[in-house]
Amino acid sequence: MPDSSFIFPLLLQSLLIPAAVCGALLLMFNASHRAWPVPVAIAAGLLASYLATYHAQWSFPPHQALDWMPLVLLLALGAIGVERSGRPLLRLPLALLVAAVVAWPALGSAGIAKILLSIASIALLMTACWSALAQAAPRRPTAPRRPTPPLLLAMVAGGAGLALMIDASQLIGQLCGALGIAAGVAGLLPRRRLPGNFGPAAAGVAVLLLGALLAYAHIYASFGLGLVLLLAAAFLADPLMALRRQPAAWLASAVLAALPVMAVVGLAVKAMQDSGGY
Amino acid sequence: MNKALLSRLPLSSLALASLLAAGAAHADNAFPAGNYKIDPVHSVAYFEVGHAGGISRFMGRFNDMSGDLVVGAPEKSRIKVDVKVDSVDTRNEGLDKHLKSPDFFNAVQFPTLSFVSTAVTLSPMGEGMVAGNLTLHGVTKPVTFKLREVGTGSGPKGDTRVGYVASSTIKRSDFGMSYGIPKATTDEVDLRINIEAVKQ
Repeated sequence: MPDSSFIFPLLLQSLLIPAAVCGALLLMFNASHRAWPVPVAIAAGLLASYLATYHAQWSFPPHQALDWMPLVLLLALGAIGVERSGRPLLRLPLALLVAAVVAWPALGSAGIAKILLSIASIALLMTACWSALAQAAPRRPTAPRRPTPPLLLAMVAGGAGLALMIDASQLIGQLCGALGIAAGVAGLLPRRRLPGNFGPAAAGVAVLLLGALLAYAHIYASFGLGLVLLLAAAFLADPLMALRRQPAAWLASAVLAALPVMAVVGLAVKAMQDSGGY
Repeated sequence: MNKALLSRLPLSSLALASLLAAGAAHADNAFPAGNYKIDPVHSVAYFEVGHAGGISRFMGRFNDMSGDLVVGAPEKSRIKVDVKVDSVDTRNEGLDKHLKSPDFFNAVQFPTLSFVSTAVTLSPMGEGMVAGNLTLHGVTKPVTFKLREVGTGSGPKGDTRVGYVASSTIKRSDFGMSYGIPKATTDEVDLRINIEAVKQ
């Protein structure tokens, strides 16, 4: 029987707190007709989980890499402005900025060439996933909801969280799980219960935050780049289904996206078993 | 001294005489003064913590260690030790990976654990203290180690070697490593550094 003194804090920090904060903000902001409340609520849900999980270690001025997470959250909210401007070319510079904040604490040990390469590749990946998800998301807050973007986000973030908790960093895994919960609450609960639409701005904020967490995992916790690429591939599910020239059924997209996510979790379990577990 | 005289001496005097004799014997085997380099093959740093809230004592080691010693009068003695955090070894790959992650040591951002002494005191019996600054997880704090001289002699190539053991207890939260206290591991960590150094 799992130890409740370990499970309960985990559920509180990574499930209850982000869900409650995200839901409360959506109700408070009355997000029915505006684009910004949903991405802000998602970011706030993750921030609340971050503070609940990390408060004992956080320091200001920032000392270790994860101390910079509040700045990453602020930068990610820049996606609202990018989508509002209608200039998708601004996605890459914002992604580069987020990747740079994540990667620069490793400059001393990894060397400038490796860090620059990491920043560039992480940013390109984030931009590609943001574009894929934004393409699938409804543009207007009052447009009919599409469950596919938040569902894909929740699935990828949740799967990443599980894989990280098993094989790399439990702390970063908890935060990925919290992001998945916040995205799910913001995008999947019925509109009559929670207003707002998971539009391109929400897609941008959520992808930048997930990209930042996976970048932390890759650079600082040896989470394989192959695993990151597999998770990113899940976001291709909706564009691939759209190529069939019929409205992409959300269930078909979800099933297709689940394949690489399950592969990542399976590989993490195998790695844990190979190392004998602890 | 004859047996009759010995039997009349108080126990405390006998004890004192024994100590002085042992000290004299230790002094006869005094550690040669000079500059030494730590032998990375025969030196190792250990850590020991309480696991799962203190159910048991769990030990790990760091395999990659380097540094310098200056052996001589106390005011001239110095110890500098550098340990590669990436060399942490608990005999379990998964646990090693977790320890190197941001949850614990954050080895990518803080690749080195180091100690630089500021003061060394040693009794004629070869026991004492070494005070200095320990840098762990990017945080530097003053720490005092108990120091014990183990021995001195010639190595296989005829080189002069000295051996020490230094031990201390720290709180990992003092160095910003607070994750999982106390359910994963305890805050208190016992450190032990076994040093063998070669005279230069």
